[in-house]
Amino acid sequence: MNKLLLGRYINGNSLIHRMDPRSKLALSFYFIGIIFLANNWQTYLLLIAFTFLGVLLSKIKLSFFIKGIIPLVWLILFTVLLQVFFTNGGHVFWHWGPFTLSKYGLVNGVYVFFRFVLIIVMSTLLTLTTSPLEISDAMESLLKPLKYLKVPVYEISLMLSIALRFVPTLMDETAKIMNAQRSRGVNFGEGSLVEQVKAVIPILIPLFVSSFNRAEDLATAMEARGYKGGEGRTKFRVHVWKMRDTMTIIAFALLTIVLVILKN
Amino acid sequence: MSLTDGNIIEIDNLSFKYARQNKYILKNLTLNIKDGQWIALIGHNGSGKSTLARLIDGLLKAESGSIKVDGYKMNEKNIWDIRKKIGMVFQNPDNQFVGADVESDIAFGLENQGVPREEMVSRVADALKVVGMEKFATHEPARLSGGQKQRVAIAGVLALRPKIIILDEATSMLDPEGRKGLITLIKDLKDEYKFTVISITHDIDEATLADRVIVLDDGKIIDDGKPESIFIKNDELLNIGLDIPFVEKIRRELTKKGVDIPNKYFTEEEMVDWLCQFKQKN
Repeated sequence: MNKLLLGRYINGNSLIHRMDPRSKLALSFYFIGIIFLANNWQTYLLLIAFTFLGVLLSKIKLSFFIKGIIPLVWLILFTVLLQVFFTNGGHVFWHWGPFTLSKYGLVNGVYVFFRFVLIIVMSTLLTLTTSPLEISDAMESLLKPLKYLKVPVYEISLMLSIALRFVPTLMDETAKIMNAQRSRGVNFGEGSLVEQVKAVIPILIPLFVSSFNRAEDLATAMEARGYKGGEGRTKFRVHVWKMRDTMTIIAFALLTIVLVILKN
Repeated sequence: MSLTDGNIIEIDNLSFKYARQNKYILKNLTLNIKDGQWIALIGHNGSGKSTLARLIDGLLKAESGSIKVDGYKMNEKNIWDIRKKIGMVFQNPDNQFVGADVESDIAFGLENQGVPREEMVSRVADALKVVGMEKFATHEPARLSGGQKQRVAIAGVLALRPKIIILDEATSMLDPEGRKGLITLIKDLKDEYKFTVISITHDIDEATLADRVIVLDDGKIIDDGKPESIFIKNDELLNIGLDIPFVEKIRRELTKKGVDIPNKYFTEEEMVDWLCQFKQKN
């Protein structure tokens, strides 16, 4: 169960690992944006090369990225096939009812395929090289401008970091409750759909109750340690913007310029 | 601010009951605690020990009576100043871990007080060293044992440099090893940093280490004194459902067997000495 969320981060010390999480998070989103600039084979080739460079720099095995793609394989196939069979234009190779297999369709299918793969690989690169903690720090930092719109950024980030900190604790708790209920005769994952849903109740209710108890205990402990809200707090965890972050941003800027020049 | 008669905590005629309950948890309680002492607060379940601790820290509001901590009277205005002076370690090690890793948890209290970052870094490092957890600075709580989490909680309290440390059954969920390690650690730290410790406990052997034992029963102090004078009156303790120290148990069994053992409180070493002498004589 632990593999689900936190196991996806792979500890390492590569260039990408050491980057500031803020720049990584922002650039990942930016990359998804500029993918849509690409519309011919030169631009796609450039993007693929760029992403591959990122993967190489992270020093993480390619198989991890492939594992990231696998859960989405059906979505990719479905979209690619739609593109292939429903796009008209250029030389028509094959035609049957509403389906056509045309040159444009094939080309578009290939483009859509690479677009998907690039987005997945880039976001996998982010989660593999950045710990959840760093991601939540980065989010707080990037959301800071929203303070002027009266968004409680500090509270949101505290919520996020407490939520992340309790994920493994609640996982353990769930496993314990399941075992305890099993030892009293509850069967999980057996019987009809209705029976299976009913079997969830003896897990869910104790889990809810214990979560509320934990929340209350934690709130008391936080108050006892002098917590009175975001005002007047200093921060222990800080991230330092380094040369490599500036360099990466320059690389992305250059990439954008070249993409704009090459696209038709 | 000078303390009156060296009392760091002065509680006068304190009463408390929870909302929607008729029974008073604490009734007209008066108690003074001297600076630098180790106080053990014992009593059966529901006797009001934890409530008392929470009242001292301002986590609960008293119905009547007054609490004075380090010369400050507990009220809305002083509550945060008082909390700065008190560090609390709670029962469940899992539920008091705020940070996503050890370092940020220890820093949490410092962040709340607005301590500048450079000072925070050195204080966190110091606190980690004191509790012997330097190697675990960047570990997540899920990768720590219960005893280690309690050590982190103590480090978090120490980093704040409080005058009073309240242990609210802080060792009750640990195994005997972890419990012993933690108590020794706090004892050593107390000797070094000279803070006041209020330890709420069910563990009688832990209570024997204290300078002063206070026995609560149904919200009233029924006994108060040095461990040796409290634990000799063992029948009273047994009557209100508390245990007696192991050494005392041995003494009672020996008396039952007709051994002529003096009717006084023995520490562990004293008992060992006495038994050796007894064996040589016979």
